[in-house]
Amino acid sequence: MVKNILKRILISIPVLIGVVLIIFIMLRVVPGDPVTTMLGEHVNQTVIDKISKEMGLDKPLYIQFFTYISHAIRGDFGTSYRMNRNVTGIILDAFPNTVRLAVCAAVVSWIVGIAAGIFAAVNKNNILDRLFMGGALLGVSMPVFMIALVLQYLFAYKLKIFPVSGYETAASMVLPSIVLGWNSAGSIARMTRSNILEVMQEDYIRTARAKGLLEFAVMKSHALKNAMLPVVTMMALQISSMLSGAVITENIFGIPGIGRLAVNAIETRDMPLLQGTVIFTTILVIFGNLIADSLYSILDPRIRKEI
Amino acid sequence: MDNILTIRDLKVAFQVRGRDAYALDGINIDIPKGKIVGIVGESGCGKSMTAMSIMGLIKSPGRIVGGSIDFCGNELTKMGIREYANIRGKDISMIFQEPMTSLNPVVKVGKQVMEAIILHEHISKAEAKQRVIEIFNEVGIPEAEKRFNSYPHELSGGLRQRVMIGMAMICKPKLLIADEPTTALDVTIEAQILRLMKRLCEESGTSIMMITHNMGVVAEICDYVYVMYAGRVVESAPTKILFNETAHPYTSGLLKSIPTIGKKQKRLYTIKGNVPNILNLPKGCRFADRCDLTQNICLSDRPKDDYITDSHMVSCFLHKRIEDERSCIKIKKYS
Amino acid sequence: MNKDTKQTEQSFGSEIGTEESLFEKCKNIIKHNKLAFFSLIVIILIILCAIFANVVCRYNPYTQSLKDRLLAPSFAHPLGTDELGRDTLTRVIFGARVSLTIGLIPTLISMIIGTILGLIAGYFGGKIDFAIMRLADIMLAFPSLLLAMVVMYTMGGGLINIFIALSLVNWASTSRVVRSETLSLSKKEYVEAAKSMGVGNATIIFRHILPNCIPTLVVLFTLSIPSAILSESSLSFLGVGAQPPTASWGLMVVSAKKYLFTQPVLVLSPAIAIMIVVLAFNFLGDGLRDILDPYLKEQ
Repeated sequence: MVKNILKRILISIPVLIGVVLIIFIMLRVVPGDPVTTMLGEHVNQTVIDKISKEMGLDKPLYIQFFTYISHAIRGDFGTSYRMNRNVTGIILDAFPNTVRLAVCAAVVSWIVGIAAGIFAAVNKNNILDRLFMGGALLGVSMPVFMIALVLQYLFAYKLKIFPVSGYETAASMVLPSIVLGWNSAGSIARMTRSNILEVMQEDYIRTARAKGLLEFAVMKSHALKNAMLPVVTMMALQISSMLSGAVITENIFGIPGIGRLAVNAIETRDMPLLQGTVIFTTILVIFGNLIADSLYSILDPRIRKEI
Repeated sequence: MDNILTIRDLKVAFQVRGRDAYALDGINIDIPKGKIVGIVGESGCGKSMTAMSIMGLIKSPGRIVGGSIDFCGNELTKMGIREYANIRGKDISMIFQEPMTSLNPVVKVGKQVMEAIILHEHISKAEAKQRVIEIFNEVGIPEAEKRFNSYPHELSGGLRQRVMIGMAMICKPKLLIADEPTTALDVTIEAQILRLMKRLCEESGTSIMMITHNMGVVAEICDYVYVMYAGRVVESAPTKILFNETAHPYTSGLLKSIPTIGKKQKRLYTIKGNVPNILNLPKGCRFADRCDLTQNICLSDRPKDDYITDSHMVSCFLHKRIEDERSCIKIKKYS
Repeated sequence: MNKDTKQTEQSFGSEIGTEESLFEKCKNIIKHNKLAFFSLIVIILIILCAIFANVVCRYNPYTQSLKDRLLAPSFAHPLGTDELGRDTLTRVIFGARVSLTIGLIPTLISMIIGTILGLIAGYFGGKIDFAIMRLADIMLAFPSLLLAMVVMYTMGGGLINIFIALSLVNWASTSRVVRSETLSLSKKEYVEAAKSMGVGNATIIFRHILPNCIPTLVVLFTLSIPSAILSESSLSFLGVGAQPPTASWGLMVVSAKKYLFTQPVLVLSPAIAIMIVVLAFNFLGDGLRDILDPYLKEQ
């Protein structure tokens, strides 16, 4: 098991380097001079040259890349052009806000998604099942910003239960968490339901029934564990979509997290910051995938033993 | 007779496009205490359906539409869910055909066996564990204590089936239903498993309902045999009588299709044709279109269950019990 | 499920197969997938509306009229007007053009890229397979919205660039599915037989493997459209996608956001339009999967 996890970590290192490389090339090569992209067209050439030199952009690409990587390993993602601060520092300041949002959202989506999925599976094909699964599909199909705006309108403006935006108080985290968790809850619910229904057809469920277990016990001690294996993996994978979704959620609710940083970086054309946030986020996603894979091999005895 | 299970005129139907298709159409089975009763037939004849009816585990859209299943004086077809669950695994238990898929892959086998006994005998976990290890020893699982913590995929097919037998026998049930318990196993292991089942049941006085399509298994361990065809019992008798005085053409077909060593045979006998579709059953005898001895009456009327002797039932127009004649038409005539 | 029920189900199945004509088959499929069929009709209607937007709409989506600013829904303007006095309904209908093109074209491009790479990886295996699959791993590791944002940053906003961004971002999952199908198909007897007879690789791929991937691809395509539409609207919402005054649903939502509390219909109309299209494609995709493709069902 440990060997397997180590193997996965080893595999993700080249992926990590590839990610950095692609972002790096994208931001520098296409389609023109990165400094011009940053400053706009109407800046004179001497300024451009000067800044190029300052940021090391005049050197050959591969040297830039290795310099960047070697700095990045030591936790240095360069200096923000607009804020004149270390990118790592800026990211680490924003990171706790994103984490808090993502954790709350994950908890919301797991609880709601799994509960709804189980509930729908138990009530298979009756009106409650249809209702829940309709809701789940709606959850998957709604754009994040629409959910955000509707909830803001209802709960912040009409009912005045929660604040419209902000991030300091617990109450202000409620709406963003629901918004961010909404899509994931939908897909988790759908997956939970279909997995349970599939597992309930298995022979060992028949064995469990033949043993004299009642439906509830069959579900609890035999169906859920099998059905949840893939769901757990999916929950870890949801980190990726949560981080993407967080970009929008943070912008709507004014939460100064990583996603807000990325959009700010684009608006102010701050390349080092954009580069830093995207790479940082991607590392998180790769890490999440790693956890997902490892979780699966820890939870499933069949895989656990093969290694 | 001291019957532990009595099935009378049991009918199980599936609703397909608004009409009922009968998977079981009025079957009668008696299982005496401490005996092994074989249920034989081709796949799709209703053997497993009979077992699932007794267990009360028929899946929708199937349902019992008539008849009775009497188990030690309790009417199973009218029993409530909780009451039924108390009988399952305790008084009636079941072994399935596929030991590979019948055990939960992510739960330790010991725990799976333990579940039944904790549920039914309300004993502590430590005690239950002790009992599981005992039964593992009894069913011949080596290193029982170590195996308690194994997962199913770590065991061979034979061992898994032993686990299943242990699980079924741990509460010393009155009736054990074995649904083709050796079909998925090697021939060498088959004999061991059959002997094990027979021994355990003799020790605890358990009756066995042995579902199989293998006449060899029947000959080896069964006391009584029921031959099923297309949702009906076509012939039933004590094993010896069934083999020696075979009455139904279908039974004799089954027997003839067993290869015999040493006997010169040009070609192994096969019964022509296929099992009829239960949605589209013939008007007369269900076996008529595959039978070598079909008469006009076979195509127009359904044969009744006739007892040609007190213990030998056959459902065929070739046989009529004639009280004043000493014997009926013997199968030897056309076999 | 026990043996007997399986048996009976099989016999029901064969009966259905033999008794019914093609027409009845279609009727049956529609009957069992009412929702998918209904969605198909909705999608066709929306596509027609988008194509004939000029004919359907009374107003021009770009003509501003300051005296008609922020009108409430009325007979003349069923969904009211926006802050520049443009008719909301007209803009929603014209927005369908943007969303549908975004949904269809980049998805198609990324599917083609993904299919080609997947076929190559699965069929030839070895180093090529390894290289392509690691590249796919890398692409899948990016949060797709962020990657698209980076592309938009370097190339600037605008519809053409969204096309490019989304085409580049989404090929990886297609290539994975196609690769695994190709792998299992190339182990089939008829492919092995063709190989042993010396049939060329290209012929095997295009005659034996690709046609068998088509059902999966159709389903995947249908189910990828909504995510492309959602991505476009998100990008536009964040201001890095379509640029004003384009009538894009995402853009409409962001510009109407200020009026959320005073005139919610302005925000809701484009948002609901997105939702309807996305739902319709999801339903259609689910239905198609049930009809065509048992393989994806298992995933």
